[in-house]
This record gives sequence, structure tokens and C-alpha cells, in this order.
Amino acid sequence: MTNACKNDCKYCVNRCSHDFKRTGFEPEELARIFIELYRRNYLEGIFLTSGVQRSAAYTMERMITTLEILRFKYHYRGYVHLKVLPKTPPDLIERGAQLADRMSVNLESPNPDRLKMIADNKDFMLDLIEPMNIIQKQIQKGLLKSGHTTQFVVGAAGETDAELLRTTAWLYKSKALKRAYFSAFIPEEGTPFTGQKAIPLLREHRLYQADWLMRFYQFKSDELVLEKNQNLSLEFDPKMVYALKNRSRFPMEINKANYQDLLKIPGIGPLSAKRIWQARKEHCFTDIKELKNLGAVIKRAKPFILINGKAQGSIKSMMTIKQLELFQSQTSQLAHQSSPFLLA
Amino acid sequence: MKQISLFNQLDLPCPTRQVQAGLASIISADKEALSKFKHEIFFALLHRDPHKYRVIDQAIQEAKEKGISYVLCKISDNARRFRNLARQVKGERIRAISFMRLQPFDQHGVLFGEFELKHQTAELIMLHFMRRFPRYRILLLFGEEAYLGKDKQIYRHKIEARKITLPKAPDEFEKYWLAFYRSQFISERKNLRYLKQMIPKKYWKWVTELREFGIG
Repeated sequence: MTNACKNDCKYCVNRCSHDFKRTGFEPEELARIFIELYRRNYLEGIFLTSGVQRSAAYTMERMITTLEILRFKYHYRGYVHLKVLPKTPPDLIERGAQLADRMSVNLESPNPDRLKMIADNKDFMLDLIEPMNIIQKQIQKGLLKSGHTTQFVVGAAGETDAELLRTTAWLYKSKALKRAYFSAFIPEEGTPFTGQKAIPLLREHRLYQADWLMRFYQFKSDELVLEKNQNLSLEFDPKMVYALKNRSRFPMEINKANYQDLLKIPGIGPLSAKRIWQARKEHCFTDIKELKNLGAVIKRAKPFILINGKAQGSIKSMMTIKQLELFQSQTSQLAHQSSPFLLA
Repeated sequence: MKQISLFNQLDLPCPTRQVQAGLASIISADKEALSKFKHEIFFALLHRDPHKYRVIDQAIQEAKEKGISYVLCKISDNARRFRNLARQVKGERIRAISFMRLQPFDQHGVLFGEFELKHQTAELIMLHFMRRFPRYRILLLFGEEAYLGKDKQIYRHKIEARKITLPKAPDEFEKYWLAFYRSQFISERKNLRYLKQMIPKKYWKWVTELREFGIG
């Protein structure tokens, strides 16, 4: 709705201490522009967010008014994702939930200590987790059919992947989070972080891969393997790292492995695993080409599978024994902690 | 203008007798798999490839001999070809409804759009827009065929594309769209490889904002 913001988050280009031109929309203006773009098929749905103007309550009220105009004046029935600003009062969250398909609260950091480093006026538990609790209650009432999500700024406060993944796993389990988004920190002009090094986009990509393992591949968070610096490997994807770290579990027999085990094999995703599992009811795999046809990535899967007892490749084709030993000694599985909010 | 059939929730009986006879001979306890198989045949039949019938017949034969899962799971080369036919048709539909821009002619209550199609997906695309914008008449131009959707019916008309001239008035909302896109663009995140994966190059000319950034 506006790029004016009373908050002073250190990573954000819209922070109040950044001197630049501010602008914004009236609810009616924004609703009309959206509906005209929707009519022209530029847009599929609306993701409504804003800087915090005057107060969270004032801005949220305007965002909700925009949605009311869309829903009731323009009869818009499409998708709405409504951002919930930190410190939003519960009654406004409840009103927003009547209009939106999805809501989200951006945590930005994985724990209170890290949040203090980048946004010292936000209280992690009161301003961010508490609104999440209210959103969760709305979902339990049958509202917000697309659930709720969150986003982290990766690396702005020096947090490790271990901290991010631990909090993410906790959110999935305790807050019924639909999914987490990770945004690699890129320093913006006009912020205290100007001139700092940007976080490589590959790190963001690895976090998404690890997140997918937890959401779709039935991985538990403590099965994820980290390097000594408590970050995911940038060289290999998290599933390959798991397979290399747990070599004793491989190679797996394609004709016998259960669905959960199939998901652990590099190069075999949920769809391929489902197809293998379904096809096995009437068919016995005899040739690697059959796996290729059904969508498995053979190059990656080969060292980790047996077909009718026959090995298809070797891990040595990927790395030497010496590299493998070094890899073993320098990685560890994500450790359990009593609270996800403890620093690593 | 010729009025043509409106697909009924994508659940039409397959249009060739041969295919119908083949399907009738498949006895499957798995109703869900059979329904999915029919669904795939429906889409494969809309493919432009003249050899599609041979691939579909062979898929039905394989389903009879080895089970529907064998085909749906793409175990054999032919099963993979069969599912690729369906996938390409579905892909074209999704891309057309994602990247086609519509131009409103409010005095006539019409939304007009233009796109190039390879497969027989025009009716599916019409259906999508007719459901999305029930208060408008939808007029879409696909090469030398114009489709008009009104009163829940679709009409097709053969035309010579070069005779069609539509007023392209400057649209203030297109400017707003480009301004919005520009404000969201992060140069550090520009990833052409990913872009090509999401929007194949042949569709770039339809995506206004790509031209703006010297991509299209």
C-alpha cells in the first residue's frame, strides 16, 4: 500500500531513517488498479503488503478496506494473500482472515537474539509469534484455506542455516505453517548494511532444498546434514549430502525399498517414488531405462540403487575415497535443541 | 459462425470409436487410475501430432496387458511418449492462460486476446476465461480462427488474420503494470536460465514486461 514505514529495520530499503520519496495508494485506488490488471490477465491474484504507516493497526485497517472493496464492490473471487504486520491487533487479524486465502507474518530472523540485531523495535514472541497464534486459530475455524507462511532474510544477522532450519521445523510442527520462504540478504543503499557482502543465492537455494526435504520427502530435521560452520553444503545438495553421510543405507534395491526409503535416494523425487511404488504392484523393474522413463534422474540415482540385486554405479565415480573421508569428518547431522530459539 | 461443443468439465467420452472400444475392454478395479488414464487420453487427443492415434492405441494395449499403472507410471518408451503428448497439451493451455493479455472493449462488454497455439487447446482456454469473467464476452484470436464465448456457448469463425485490425488504444494500466514490475525487479536475482524454464522463449513475445527489460 505504501513504502512509508515507521520502523527502522536495518536491512530494509523502506526504513524510516532512509531519506527518499515516499508514496502510497488509497484503498479504492489500489483496488481499482488491481481489478483492471486482473481483467487484462496480467495478474492471477493479489499479495497485499505494506510499510507500517502511523501504526500497524492503522495500516492493516487500510489493507483490509482494500480487500473489502475488492470482494464486495468488484466481486473479486480470486486468490488473496494478506501480509500481517508486526504488532497487528487480534481483531484485525480475525477480520483479515474472513477475506484472505492465505496470511503471513514475516519473522525475518530465526530467533529473538538475531531479530534484535536487525530490528530492535520488534519483539519476536509478542509482535510476531503471537499474531501467528491468532492466525493458527483462524485456520482451525476453517478460514484461510491456503494456510499461513513466513519469510526469513537469510544472513542479515549472521544466523546459520542450523538456526533457520530448526525454527522452520518448529514452525511446521507447532504452528502448522504451510511453508517458509528464504530470501538471501542483499545489502540495500541507504541502510546501515550498505557495502556489506551479499549472501550467495546458492545458500538460499540450498535452504529451499532442505525445506523441501522436510515438507515433501519425509525427512526429519535431525536427518539434515550440516558442515562444521553449521551451514548446509554449497557444493552438494542436502539430499546428496545425506546419502553420502549415510552410505551404509545404500545402495537400495528398487524392487523392495519402501516409499519412505525411495524418497531418500538422490535423483528420486516424490513423484518418481510414487510411480515406482505403484508400478511395482504389477511390474518388476529390470532395466535402469525404465526408471529413466518414469522420471528418475539416473545420473544422480545410479550409485545408490540396485536393480534385481545388480549395482548400477559407484560413489567413487563422484568423489575419491579421500574426499569422502574428509567429507565424513567435516559434517554432522542437525542437532536437537530443547528450544528452537537458542543460538547455535 | 459455427457453434461448437462446450467441453463438459473435461469429462467427455473420448471422441474416436477405436479409443472408446479400447477403453471399454480394460477391466480395472482401480477407478481412480482408470479415470486418470481417460483424462490423459483426452489431452493426448488434442495434440497436433498426426501419429498420436498410434501412440494412444499402443498405450491402451499396454494398459490391457500390463495394467494402467504401467502406462501412467511411464515405464515403457511408448508410455512416456503417450504421457508427453498429454503433458505438452496441458502445458500449452497453462501457458496461454498465464501469458495471454486481454484488452477490454467496455462499450461491447468484450475482453479480447490473441495467442498462437500448436495444439487443439482453444476451447479449453476459452472455457477458462469464460468461467473467470462470466460478465464479459470473450473474443480470442488464434491464428486464422476467432473464438467468441457468450451465453455459455463457444462460437468459432474462420478468418484471414491479416484482415483483422483492432484498435490498440494506449492503455494506462499497461503503464501501471510496467511501473509495478520495474519497482519489483531485482537485478541481482535476474536468472535467464530459470526464466526460460518457466516461460519458454517462444512465449516471450506475449509477455509485455520482458520486452521492457530487453529480454523479450
